Amino acid sequence: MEFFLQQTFSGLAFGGVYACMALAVVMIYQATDHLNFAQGEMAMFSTYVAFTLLSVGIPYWWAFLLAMAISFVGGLLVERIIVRPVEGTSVLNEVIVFIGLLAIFNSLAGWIWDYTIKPFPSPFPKEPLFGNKFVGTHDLGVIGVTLVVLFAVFLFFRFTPIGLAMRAAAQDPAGFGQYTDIEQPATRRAAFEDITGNPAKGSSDCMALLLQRGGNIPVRIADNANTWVLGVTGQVHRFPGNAKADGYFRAQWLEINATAERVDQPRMPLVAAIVAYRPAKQTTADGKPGADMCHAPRIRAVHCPAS
Amino acid sequence: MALLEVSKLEAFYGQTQVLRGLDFGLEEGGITTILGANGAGKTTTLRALCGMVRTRGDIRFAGKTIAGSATETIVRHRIAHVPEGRGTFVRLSTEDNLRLGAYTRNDAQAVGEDLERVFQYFPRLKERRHQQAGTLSGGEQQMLAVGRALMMGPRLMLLDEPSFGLAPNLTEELFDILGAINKERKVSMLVVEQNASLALAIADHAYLLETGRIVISGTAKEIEQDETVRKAYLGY
Repeated sequence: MEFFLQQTFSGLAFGGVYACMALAVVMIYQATDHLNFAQGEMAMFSTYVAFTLLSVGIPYWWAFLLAMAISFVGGLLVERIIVRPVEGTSVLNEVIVFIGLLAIFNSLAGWIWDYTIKPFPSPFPKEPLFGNKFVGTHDLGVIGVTLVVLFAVFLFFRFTPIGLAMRAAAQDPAGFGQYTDIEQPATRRAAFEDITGNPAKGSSDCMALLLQRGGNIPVRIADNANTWVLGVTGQVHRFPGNAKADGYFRAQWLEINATAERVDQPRMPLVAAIVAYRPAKQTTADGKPGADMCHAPRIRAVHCPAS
Repeated sequence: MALLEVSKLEAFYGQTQVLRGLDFGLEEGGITTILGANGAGKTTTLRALCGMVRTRGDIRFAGKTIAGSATETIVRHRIAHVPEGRGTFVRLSTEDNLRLGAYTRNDAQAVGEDLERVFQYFPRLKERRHQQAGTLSGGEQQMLAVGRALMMGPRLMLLDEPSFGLAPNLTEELFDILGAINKERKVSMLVVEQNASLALAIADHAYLLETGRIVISGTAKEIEQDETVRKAYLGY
């Protein structure tokens, strides 16, 4: 029983880290239609920035805030200089840019800080809370931070004008500009900068990594993020065709996703193919043409019922 | 001084020219209607005023040139577009759709008062304020689109086929409300409509558009008595 409870709490804490990452990926996807495969790497890079600040003697929470500020500026520059020029061009261009960013951040981090795992201090006390044997204070902290971040994001979207505008822009990017005075890319940019800049959401990214279980700077999340991104944004929700094809595809995807660490190269063609084809958007659950088929100008020969 | 002055307006979709040198104007506080058959360029005219299509020619609003400006800049002049198809944000609540209309405003208290005023004009929207907008009926969504435009505190409303897809009694109700908004709040309106008799009933000026050109213009009364308009658009 003790073992069971320990595993449950540690699973919840680990799930919390993934939930924060998923939140970041989904927010970017919903607001910008970009699948940021470099999300994991960018977050890992932010954590290394915090690690460096700590190692030069800056206090923990100052390092945390400074790392967020630096990441905000980094996100802004990446969006302006690298992502914006390919926006609205072919889907594959965007995929290549994000996969390129993934490789760049990964290699840059390895080059600067080397590839060995570094210890990263936990912001929570080492002693278990109330002397319990089931859950460490770090794990409880992770679960708590996850809940706080989720609630903060909810408040941001529900009660702020920019949150409302982002929800509207995600639904109807073309129509959005007719009702507000924001240039549409501004919303996109805001969302992108928020990767690490917005205290409500950005912290989810940074926290996800600062709070990584075991207190080490993670490699695993970043490693799996590219295929995992597809999952959390619903890209592999359903594969068109018969059930057997769907099952085969899912099995392959899970297999590849679960493969041990350095398998980026064989995995990338599949990731690129999925993003280019977008199975979940091609067909609705009842077999009718999905959103992409009706709106993408490059796919013409499909009959779309009037909405 | 005219609130809106349009001269030699041309509009293009790619290489295709849709508007061919329109000249028209709109007085402050007035209602002007543009009549015409399908494909005449009515919707394109409104889209051109909003900066949503490539244009040539001059558009002046309250003395300032807005031709060539981006849509989000034109919105800041308090020009509200009620688009064809209503443009409802279907997954947002009715109230969120309305609040989105007030995005450009910073006066929270006045926005709250305007929300109540919209609910007075359209009590159905108040009943459904927390309901997902996609679940509203066609008529309610049209009311929502008009309400959202009102939330901007507009000087000019551009209405694209407000009667489209509505039952006759609902259409009449909507036009009565539009007339009331125009009188009470001094909002100028440019109404594009296929239902000529309804549009002429509330408008003071009218233009008839055919294949991208204005072929007849005058006061609503004059246009109503024009034989071509009567035969082609009023059916008697």
